[in-house]
Amino acid sequence: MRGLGRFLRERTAATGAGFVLLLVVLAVFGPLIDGTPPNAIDHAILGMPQPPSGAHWFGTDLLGRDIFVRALYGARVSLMVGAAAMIVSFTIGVSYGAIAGAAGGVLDAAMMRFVDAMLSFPTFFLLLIIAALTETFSLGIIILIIGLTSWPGLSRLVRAEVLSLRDRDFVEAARALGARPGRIVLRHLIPNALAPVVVAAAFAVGDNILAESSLSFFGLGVQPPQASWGNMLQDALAPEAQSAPWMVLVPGLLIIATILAFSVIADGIRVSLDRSISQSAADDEPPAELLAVPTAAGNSSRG
Amino acid sequence: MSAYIVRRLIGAIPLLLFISLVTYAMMALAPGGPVSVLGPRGGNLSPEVIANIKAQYGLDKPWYIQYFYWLKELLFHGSLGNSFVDHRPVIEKVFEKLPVTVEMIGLALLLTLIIALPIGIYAGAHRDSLVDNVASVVGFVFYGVPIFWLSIVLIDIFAVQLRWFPSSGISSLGAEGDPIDRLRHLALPVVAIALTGFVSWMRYQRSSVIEAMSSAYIRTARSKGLSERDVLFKHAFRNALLPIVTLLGLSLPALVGGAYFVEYVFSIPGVGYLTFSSIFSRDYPTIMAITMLTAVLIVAGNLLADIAYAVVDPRIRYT
Amino acid sequence: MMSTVVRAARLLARLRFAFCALAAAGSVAACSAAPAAVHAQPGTLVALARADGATMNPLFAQTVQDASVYGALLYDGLSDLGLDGANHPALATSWSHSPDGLHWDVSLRRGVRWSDGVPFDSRDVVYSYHLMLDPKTAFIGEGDIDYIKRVTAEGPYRVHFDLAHTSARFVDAALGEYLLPEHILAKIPDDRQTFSSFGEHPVGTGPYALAHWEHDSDVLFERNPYYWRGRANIARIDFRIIFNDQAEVDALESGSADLIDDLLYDQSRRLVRESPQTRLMTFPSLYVNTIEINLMRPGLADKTVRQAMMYAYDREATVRGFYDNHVRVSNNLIVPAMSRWYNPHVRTYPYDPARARALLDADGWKLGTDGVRRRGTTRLAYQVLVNQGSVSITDQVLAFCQDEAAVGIKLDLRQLDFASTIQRAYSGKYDLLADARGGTLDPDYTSVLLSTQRPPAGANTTGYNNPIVDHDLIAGLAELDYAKRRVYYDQMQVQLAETLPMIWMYGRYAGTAYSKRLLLDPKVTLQSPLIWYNVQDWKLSS
Repeated sequence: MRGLGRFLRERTAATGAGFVLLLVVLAVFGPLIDGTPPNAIDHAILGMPQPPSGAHWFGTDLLGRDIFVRALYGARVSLMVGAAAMIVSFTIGVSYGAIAGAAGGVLDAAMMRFVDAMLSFPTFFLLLIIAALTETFSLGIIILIIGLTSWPGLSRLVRAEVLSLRDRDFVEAARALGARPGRIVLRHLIPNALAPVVVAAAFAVGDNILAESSLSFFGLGVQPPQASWGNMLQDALAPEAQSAPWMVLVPGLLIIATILAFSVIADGIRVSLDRSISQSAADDEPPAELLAVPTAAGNSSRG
Repeated sequence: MSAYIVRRLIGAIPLLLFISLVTYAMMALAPGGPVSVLGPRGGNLSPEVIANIKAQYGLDKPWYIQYFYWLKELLFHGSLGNSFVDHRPVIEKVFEKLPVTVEMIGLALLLTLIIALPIGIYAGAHRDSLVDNVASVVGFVFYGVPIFWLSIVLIDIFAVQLRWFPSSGISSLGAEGDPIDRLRHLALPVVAIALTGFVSWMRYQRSSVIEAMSSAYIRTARSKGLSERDVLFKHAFRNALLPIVTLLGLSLPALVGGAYFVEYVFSIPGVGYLTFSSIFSRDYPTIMAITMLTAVLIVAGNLLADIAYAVVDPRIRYT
Repeated sequence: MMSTVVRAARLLARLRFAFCALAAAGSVAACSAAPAAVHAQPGTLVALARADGATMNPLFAQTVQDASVYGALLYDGLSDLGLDGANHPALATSWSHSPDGLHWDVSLRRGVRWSDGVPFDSRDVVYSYHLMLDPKTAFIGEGDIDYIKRVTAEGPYRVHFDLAHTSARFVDAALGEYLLPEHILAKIPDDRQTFSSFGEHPVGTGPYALAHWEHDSDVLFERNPYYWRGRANIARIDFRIIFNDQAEVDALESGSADLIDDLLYDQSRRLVRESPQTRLMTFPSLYVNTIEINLMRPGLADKTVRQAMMYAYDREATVRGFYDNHVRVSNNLIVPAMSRWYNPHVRTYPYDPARARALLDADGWKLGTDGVRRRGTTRLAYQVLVNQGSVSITDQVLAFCQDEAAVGIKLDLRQLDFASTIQRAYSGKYDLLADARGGTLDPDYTSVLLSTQRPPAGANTTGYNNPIVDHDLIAGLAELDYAKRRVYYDQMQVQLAETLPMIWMYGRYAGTAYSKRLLLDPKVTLQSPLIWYNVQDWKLSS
């Protein structure tokens, strides 16, 4: 049973990775092959969404635009936002958490209080207010906003890992050899702390795609006519959506499938990383499986 | 132990102050304050009247002074001020909406636990089995669903097509007090929240069980000849329940966030709806009150979580 | 407090988006399945609303719902709007003015009582106007009536007004303000009126009184036994708040509600399709959807550019595609429904992109390699602000943007929440803005079009500056004789169509849907919220 499980898990992860790869290829090359402009409003069928057909594989929306093509362009946007925002939060979160964990003492406490504060805000609040605040709006701003609201969780995770690594033998050895603190952080702590963080980052891509779709759904994310899966979901508000479900189902299912793919990939990474963790260490470590959830251990002053 | 709790409580105060300050600053800096929302209706209000309106709202002072007055009101008079929209005490506005949201989140939590706990524990005990894998995948599917989209789909299927549930509101005409009617109205929103959230709980349980099962004292128990079943129930199970408190505190932001969307889509007049409408109308006092309420709950949740850990792991108390 | 029409004008023109933002955003593409039609109790009219009001104190009413709907149920003014769209005596029985129009005498109706039984007399009138005019009260509509210098009582049933200057709006706007009970409010100092609980426990002379209020959920009114026109026919009116459009329609279809007074076009389409037995009333539009233009921006300041934009915009396609031709393309700020004032002889702009291009070419706007026209350092590239929350409007504006791109004017859309849009409009930080105008039965647009009314003094957000229109507005407002006023406003309309401070789109759809058991007066000609002004005559058949 165990062997079958592991096999299935690997297959699942591989399927997920395959899906994402396919999506990326389609998103990058698809629009180049199919020349249909994604934003061209067709006056002839204004207000009359067409069901999927040979001419329009996923049908058309309220403005007569081809949904398949828009879905491809939307894939570009969503993937880009998801990944780029993850890089932003990863960079900030890892550095912040590593420094806090390595520094310890008052600096650590102060830094983590700030993180606690950030985590206590309902994220959507923040997104809403910042989106309304910004003067010029662009994809870059959206990426920045989403990245800036998701780094605290990562930093907590990193800090917890760093804390548990700090007193380990190889770090003691490095210290005994006279290595400078910066070097210790960079060469020893971060690489070893990365394992659960990479997993969390993979989950973060999914979270970011969700965040973008929520923002865009409320009209405060990607602006039309540029297509994003989130703002395509705005059509779900129109009464016609009831008789034209393809308008709602296509972006929704795409979002679900993509996030699912990233989730199983992340899970697969975790499994393979787990195998390289020795059994004895597993006894004292906090469960490395606390993935999409920041560890409570990060909050208490432990170690 | 009590020293630890007191220390943590004291530590929470600067945290809450900081949150309140940042929230007020953000709000005040957002373009279009409450007076500008009134402005066009007035059309040609005389400068004197505008000045009076601003004075009534306390908006004639810079934002940090406004914040200071807000804090003073709160600390010395226990008052959260009056709403800019209808000038009623904010506490009144929040408390009349709180029961519905609490009900909804409470039921959602219950449903989540009912789904997540048994599956999570089973998955942990039978690691890498088919059930474990399927449960994870299904969990991830729902995790990736945008909650407003899920709400729309649920309404479409269960309210429109099957007509099993109503699609909006919290009560039917003439049945305002009826608990069954209320449950029918809350069913779909509760399911939406539970479905999108259960995966975290499930995996947390799973990992707790796994950790517990492989830890040293379990090996001792096994070596002493206890049956697998006893090992599971007497030790792993008990251990696995403890993190519930932890996870409760940590998942509060997500729960509250989910409630906002759901109330919006299902026309439920709860705190979530109030949040949206006060942000859109720049009703500072109400926004502050709700933010602080949420923050207090989250901080309290985290505190409970930490206390739970301290109970379990004595090392923590002395650091 | 505010006259029916003035109230509707202001609030609807600007605040409809507040409703859209909340209500439409929550609208869902689904039918609600109200459980097996629980029919409302006999004698109770169930009306639906997509957003609740905030306060029932007319001094501080901010939304259409509390100002015009609840206000019409609870209060009266000295004058009132009739079914014919004209103002008739209500709490007053007659009025007369001096030849110079600066002194008015108003006779009050006898035998009127407040809903708590206390008799109404001139003290209430004097006190109400005192409250409205005192800057310390901070009455929202103070700017509309600030030309009233003094209000005095001459005995219990006569009131005298002294004005600083004449105003054609005195009867409908000033005399139409809702009156408040002196015996309750005089106990509160003027600057504390905002914080009184009167907004939660209102007392008025209107056909109904508030019985129970569950905010954002349910509002129950019971008829006022003392109502001076006689007891209303319907004993109770219950408002249920449903944020989303679809559930509203479903409640009506299933029989658990009786009335959607402010019907959206998309809702009507569904009703026509699915439940033909529901009664539907369509009204001539009182509103025009517009795209406001910031006349200070280079390029947009050019009349030629604006006229080209009108020619380039295929409004017929929008009206056909989004409204199945149930609304009409607009050529004017004044709507045809205002039959006493509408001037059909103004310049029109039929869809003609070739003409648009010709105009731009002739004026020196050359098409660049990027498809955008430029002249010197000015590029015709702008941003259009739209309120988030209405998919329909966003889509329509997108169609507009595409039409303009075809002639070389590049427009980008930006969605914003309501408060941000208002702030940008009022601080001039915008290029183009999707909005709506109208809701008034009087053509006075002083605060919007007069050149001296730029914010913060007034609501002239476009920066319109036309000496001819300035003269028309000032003279028109001061003139009490209809025929003479007509001349000024005719000219104003000609000027507006020629100089285009806004792009007119179409007259907004106005409809009401109601169940069979509700018997509305068939003579109702005015759209929501003005239909509530003869609510006392409505009947329920069961």
